[in-house]
Amino acid sequence: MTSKNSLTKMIGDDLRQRMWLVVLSSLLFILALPATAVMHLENKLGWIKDGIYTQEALKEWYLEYLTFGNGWVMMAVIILAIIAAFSGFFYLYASEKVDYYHSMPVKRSQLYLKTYLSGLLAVLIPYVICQAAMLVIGSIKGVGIEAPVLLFFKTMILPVCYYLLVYHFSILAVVLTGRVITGVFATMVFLGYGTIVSNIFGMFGKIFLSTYTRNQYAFAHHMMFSPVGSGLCMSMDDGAFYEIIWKHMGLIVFVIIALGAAAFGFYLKRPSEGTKKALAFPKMSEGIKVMLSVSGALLLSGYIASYSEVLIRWCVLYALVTVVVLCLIIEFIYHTDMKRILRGKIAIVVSAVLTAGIIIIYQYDVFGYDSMLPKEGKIKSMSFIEDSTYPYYWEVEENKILDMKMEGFGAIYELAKEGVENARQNRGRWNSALEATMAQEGKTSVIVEYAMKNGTKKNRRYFVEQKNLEACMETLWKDVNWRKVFLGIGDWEDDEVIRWMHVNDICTEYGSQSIEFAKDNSDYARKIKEAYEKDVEKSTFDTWKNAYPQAEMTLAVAMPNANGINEVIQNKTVFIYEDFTNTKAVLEELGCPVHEKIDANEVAQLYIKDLKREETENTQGERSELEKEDEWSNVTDLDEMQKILDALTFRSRNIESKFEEKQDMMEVRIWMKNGKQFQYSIYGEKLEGLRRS
Amino acid sequence: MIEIQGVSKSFEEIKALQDIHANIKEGAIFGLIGSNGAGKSTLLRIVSGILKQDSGTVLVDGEQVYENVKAKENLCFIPDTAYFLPNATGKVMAGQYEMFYPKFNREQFVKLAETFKLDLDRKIGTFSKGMKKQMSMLLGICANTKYLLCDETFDGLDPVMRQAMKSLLAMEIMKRDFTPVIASHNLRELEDICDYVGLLHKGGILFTKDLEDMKFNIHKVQCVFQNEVDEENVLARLEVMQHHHRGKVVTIVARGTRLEILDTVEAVKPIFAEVLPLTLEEIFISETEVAGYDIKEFFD
Repeated sequence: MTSKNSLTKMIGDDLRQRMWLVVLSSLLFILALPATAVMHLENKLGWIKDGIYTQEALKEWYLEYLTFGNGWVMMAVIILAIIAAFSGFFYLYASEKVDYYHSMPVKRSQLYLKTYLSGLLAVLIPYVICQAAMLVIGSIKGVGIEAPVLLFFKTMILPVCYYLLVYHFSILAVVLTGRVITGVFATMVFLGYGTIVSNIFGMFGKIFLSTYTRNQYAFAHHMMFSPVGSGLCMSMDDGAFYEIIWKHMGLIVFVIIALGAAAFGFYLKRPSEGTKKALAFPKMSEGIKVMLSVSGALLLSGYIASYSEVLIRWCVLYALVTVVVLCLIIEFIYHTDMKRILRGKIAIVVSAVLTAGIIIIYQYDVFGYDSMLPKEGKIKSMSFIEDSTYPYYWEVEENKILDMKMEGFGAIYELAKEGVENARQNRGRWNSALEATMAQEGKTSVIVEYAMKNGTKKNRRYFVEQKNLEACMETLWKDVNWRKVFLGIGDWEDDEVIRWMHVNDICTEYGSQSIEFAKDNSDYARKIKEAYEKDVEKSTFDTWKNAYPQAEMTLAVAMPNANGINEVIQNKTVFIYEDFTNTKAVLEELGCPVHEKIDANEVAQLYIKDLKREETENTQGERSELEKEDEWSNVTDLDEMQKILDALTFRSRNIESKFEEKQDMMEVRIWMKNGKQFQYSIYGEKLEGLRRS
Repeated sequence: MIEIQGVSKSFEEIKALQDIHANIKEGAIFGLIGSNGAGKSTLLRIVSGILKQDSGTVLVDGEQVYENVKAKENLCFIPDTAYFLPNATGKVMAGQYEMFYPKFNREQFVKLAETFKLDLDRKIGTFSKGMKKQMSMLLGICANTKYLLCDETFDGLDPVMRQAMKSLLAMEIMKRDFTPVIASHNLRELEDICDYVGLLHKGGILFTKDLEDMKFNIHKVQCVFQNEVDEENVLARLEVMQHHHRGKVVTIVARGTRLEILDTVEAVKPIFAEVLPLTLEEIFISETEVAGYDIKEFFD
C-alpha cells in the first residue's frame, strides 16, 4: 500500500468516524443557504409581481446572500471551523489516545494531514454542494445570474478563506495546549488578543496623552487585529461581499498559510507528554504568562485610572500589584498547585518591568507624542475641526470637515504650533482635569490631521486660544470649497432629487413650514439650492462668527433603496443666516418666510423664570456654587414683553453651548395667539435689562 | 534486536530514565520488572516511538524508532489502559489495525476471538476491564509485528486467562519471529513466562539477565550440620549470597551449579541436606541484596 493510498484510506476512515460533523455541516449550510433562500426568493418574486421590487435588486440581493451578506453563513463557517479543529485534534488531550495514535506505524505528518483534510472535507463538501444548489435554484427561479460557473467560485472565496483562517487558529490553539479548558481559552485569546491590545493603547492614549484623539475609524482598526473582524474589514472595503479586493485577499491568504504552517510545525514538534498539561510546550509558558499578565494588568489599571486624576497618579502602583497577582493566577492555572505559584520569578519580574515601563512611557510621554510637530516640508496637507464648542457643527459630520485637506495649511500649522506649546506647558495635568482647566482659561480644543507626503496620516488634539482658532478659520474661510464643506453643502450634488424641504425658525415647529416637491425635480428645489450656494459663496466669516442662525433648512434627498423601487430619504440640514438674502427670497416666494423676530402682538401669554448662580461660603470657608430658581412669573406689559422677545433668537430654542452652561439663565415660555407654544432660554449678557430683580 | 543505548528522559524536574542500557534479544520473552514509578511505561513508550528520548538512541533491528514508519511496523504497543475508538466493535478495531499494520491477520484474529469467547460484534465499551485487556492482546498479537510491547497487560486478568495469554505468547514465539516485551511490577506473573528479565529502579536498569542462567547458577540448599565447624567450612567454600538459621536448620543460597553446591555440602557429611527450588522473587532478593539494595524498596 502506497503512502498516498493509505492517507486516502485514513481520511475516509476519519470521515466515517466524524460523520456527525458532516451531518452538522450539511444541516447548518442547508438552513443557511438553500432552505432560507427559497423562502426569501418566493417573497421577493411576489414583490416583483406587485411592482415593488426590481429584477436587478433581486440579483444583487441573491449575490450577497451567497456569501457573507448572509450572516448565517458567516456564523456557520466560524462555528464549524472551531468544532472541526477541536474534534479532529482533541485526541491530543488524552494520553491513552496519544499512545494509540502515536504508537502506530504512521508518520506524524500523515496523522496531521489525515485529520486536517478530513476536517476540511467534512465542512467544505456540504458547503460546496449547498452553494451549487443555490446557483441551480437561482437559475430555476429566474434570478438572472450571469456566468454561474465563475460566480460559483467567486462567491466561495471569502467563506472558504474565512474558514481556513479560523480553522488554523483553532488547530494551533489545540496543538499548543494540553487541556480542553486551556485550549478553549487559547482559541478565545487568538481571536481577541490583538483587538484587546489595540484597545489598551487607545485607552492609555486617552488617559495620559493630552493630544491623543480617538481615530474616527478606531473600531475598524481594532477589529483588524482580530481574525473575526479582519477578514471582513479587509475584504469588504466598501464593496460587496462577492467583489473581492484582491490586494487585501493577498494578505489574508498569507496569514492563512503562515498560521497553517505554524499549526503543522508545532504539531510535528509537540511532545507526547504535553497531554494533560496546561501548555504542551512548557518553554512557552513564561512568554505566554508575560503576554497575558501584562495585557491584563494594563487593561484593568487603565480602566481604574480612567475614573479620576488621583487614580491616574498611582496607576503604576496598582498595575504592578495586578500584574503580580495575574502571574500567580496563571502559574496556578499551569500547575493547579498552590505550592508552585511562585515559580517563574523571572517572568514575574519581566511582566512587572514591562507593565511599569509601558505606563511610564505614556505617563511621561517618553516618545514625545504630545510634542510632535512635523516639519512643514514633510506635510502634504492639513485639516482641522473644532472639537467641542460651537453648536452648529453637529449638523455636519466631523469626518467630512476633517477630510477637507488644505494644501495651503499655514494657518492650521500655526494653530498646531500653539497647541503643541500648550501641551508642553500642561504636561502632567491629566486629561480629565485638563479639559475643565482649559475651558476655564478660555481655550478650546481642535483636532488637527496631518496628511504627510509619505502617505501616512497623523491626528492630534490641541487646546488653542479661541481667538487663534477664529483667525485660522477666517483664513480658511477664504477658500470657497472649504467654506462649502464647513457650512454643510460640500456633498450637495447637482442631480440630487429633493422630495421635501422643511424650514424651522424662531417661531415655527419642525415640519410646520414644509414643502413637498413633485416626483420630478421641480424648479423651486433647484432654485433653493442655487440660492443657498450663492449665499454661502458670498458669506463672510464675521457673519458666521458673530451672528446666530435665524433658521435651519432641511432638504430631504431621495436615495435609491436596495430594492430598486423604494427610496431612502437622507436629510441634509443647513443654517440660514441674516445675510442669506437669496435663500430667504426664494423661501418667501414659496410661502416659507424666515421669521427673524417675534412680534409681541402675536403673543397670547409670556412667562419667565430666572435661574441664578450664586457663590456661597460655609462656616469652614469652603466655597460652592448654588443654583437659585425663581417661580414662573407672567409678563403682561407689552413693552417688557417685546424687550424679552427681542432678546430671543433661533439659537435661544435650547441649542446648547458649553460656554453658557454655567451662566445665569432665564427660561421663557410663550403661547402664541395661533395656539402654538414655544420655550426658550436666554443666557449671560443678553439677560441685561430683562431681569425683574 | 532492540538496542537501548544511553537513554535518558526527564519530565520537567522528574528524571524518569537515566542512562539506560539494555539489549532485548529476538525470539525470547523479555520481562521488564520494576516498582511503580520506576520508568517501565516511559521506557516502553520510548521504544514504541511515542515519546522522544532526551538523549541516547533506541534501535530496532538497527533502525532509529522515532518517526520511522519502517521501524514502527515491527512494533506494536499495548498500554495498560488501551484506547478503542468510540462505539467500536472488535471488527471495527480490527479494521483500524489492518489499516496501520499491513501484516494484520484477520483470520487469526477472528479465530482467537472465538477461542477467548469475545463477541466481535459487541461494542468494546460494554466489555469488562479483563475483556478489554484480552481484546487489546489479541489485536496486538494479530498485528503480526516482530516485537510486542506489553505494559502491565496481565493486570486485570483472571489466573486462567492469564495462563491462556501466556500460552498464546509461547505459541506465537514458536510459530514465527516474535519477541514479546512484558513490563510488570509482579514477579510471580512473569516467572513462568520470561526468558530474560531486566530490573528497572528509579530510572536506571540494575541488571539484565537470562532467567535460566540466574536459576542455574543460584541454588538454595537446606541442611543440618553435625557441628558448627562443618557449617563454617561449607560457608567458606561456597559463594554464599545469603544464609539463615532456623534452629539447627541452615538455609543457604549460593552461586554455583546444583552439583557443585551439593558436593560441597555433602563433603562434610551433614545430618540432612536438600536442594530446594528458588522463586524468581528469592533470586531477585539475593541479587539485589548483593547489589546493596534493600528489596523492600522495590516491590509492593
